[in-house]
Amino acid sequence: LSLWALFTALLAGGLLLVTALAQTRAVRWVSRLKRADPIALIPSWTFFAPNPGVSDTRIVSRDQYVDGMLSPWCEVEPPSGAWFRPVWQPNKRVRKGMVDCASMTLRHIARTPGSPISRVSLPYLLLSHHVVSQPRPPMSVARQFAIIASRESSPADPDYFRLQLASHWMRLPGVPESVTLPVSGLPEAETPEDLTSPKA
Amino acid sequence: MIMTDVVFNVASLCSVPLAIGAGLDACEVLAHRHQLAPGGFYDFRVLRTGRTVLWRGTASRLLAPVFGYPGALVLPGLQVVASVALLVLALRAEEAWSWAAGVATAVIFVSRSLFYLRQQIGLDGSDQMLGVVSLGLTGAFLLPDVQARQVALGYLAGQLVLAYTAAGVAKLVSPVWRSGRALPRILATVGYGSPRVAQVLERSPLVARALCVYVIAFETLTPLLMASGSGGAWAVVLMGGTFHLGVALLMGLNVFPWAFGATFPAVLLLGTWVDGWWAGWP
Repeated sequence: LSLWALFTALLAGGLLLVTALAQTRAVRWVSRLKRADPIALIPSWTFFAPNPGVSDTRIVSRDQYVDGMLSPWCEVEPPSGAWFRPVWQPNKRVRKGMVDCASMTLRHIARTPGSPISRVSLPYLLLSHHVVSQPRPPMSVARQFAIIASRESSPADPDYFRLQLASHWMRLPGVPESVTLPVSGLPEAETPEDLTSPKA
Repeated sequence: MIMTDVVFNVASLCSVPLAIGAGLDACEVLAHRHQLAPGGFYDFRVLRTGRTVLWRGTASRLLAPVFGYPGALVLPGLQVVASVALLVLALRAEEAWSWAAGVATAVIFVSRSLFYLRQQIGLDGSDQMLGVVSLGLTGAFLLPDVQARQVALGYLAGQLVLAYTAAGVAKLVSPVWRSGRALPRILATVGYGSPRVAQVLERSPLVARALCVYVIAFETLTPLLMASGSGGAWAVVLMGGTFHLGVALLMGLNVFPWAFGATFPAVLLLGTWVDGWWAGWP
């Protein structure tokens, strides 16, 4: 073997070995290395397994008007079932990002119950910033979003529709602090139970 | 010389799907470019809070113009240009232009890596495989030694074998996959499925189970097939190709066939090497 071949073999072999160990999630230093890998050099190859996603994650939002009335819920970036999806799907990165952020936020809340830290985590900030940045009617003063899981099944199916998280109310950009939010206390969540409570 | 030709030709064959996949992916980002703009989902003002390196220090100052908006459009833009150049070079397949093909794959690798560093969230398996392939092909075109170039192509094949094996084992230990319930349930989603096909599978649990077992068997047996030589390598390529086409049609994962297909010529080359090893076995 030439020196170049030896060097390439060591590099490629090392990457393959680390990738193989990373799939097991059993070696601590490899997991740390993977978390610190900013350019996806160490791939995760366990697609849709062992626990495949069997429901659609959907982000919905509603507005609070200046008079305290609430708008109906509407969906932000609904999933696309378009016929040309196998060839062209330009919104897939946003959809994937939202689904990933939703699951990371839910995991974060489950891991640190009662902690407000989850509200300043990157996934929660990305979701809330995107929701607040959507166009708003002139009378809207605040917005709330919710993460729901849904399945295309009959309403009798317990997974047909499941509320997973209701966010706190967020003042919309340009609404002065002097404007009080008529329903700011509802449903401001303090605990994970509040966050997933049907009262939201 | 003959070996050099083979390595170059295989690298060129790998380059065609890579160029199409990376170009398609970059065009999709450009078509939906408001996702990178202020107020878009991937607004860099928010993303930069996720990594210290993007928030403070020299690197953040250097990267800010390329990661902000509209600077971030340079990354997919460069990728489109490099993909078109790579496609032309790969179809001409002239070894004298090997260095140019190497530069094009290096541009794809660097621009994609910077894009991943910026985005942090929302990457999928095709992103990972495009990164692996562009890195491996950069080595296969630019390394000054033919053995080193062979190793670079072997890396592509190795990652594909690893990908199928890891995916297969993860499914094998999963009760929902073994029972045959996984496919109808995944396909019942709007985001990653075809609810009508899911209804058909729900009504035919035997077919659903057979499909799940087929996917598990094909993925977990990939290393054994590869160990059998070029016949097994062709089986991996045929089963993998139809699998990724099916996944693209039913689940809408449109870049996967290009990303994984880009490793197939390297897998076939690995198969011929295994034949050679068996032939030399005492």
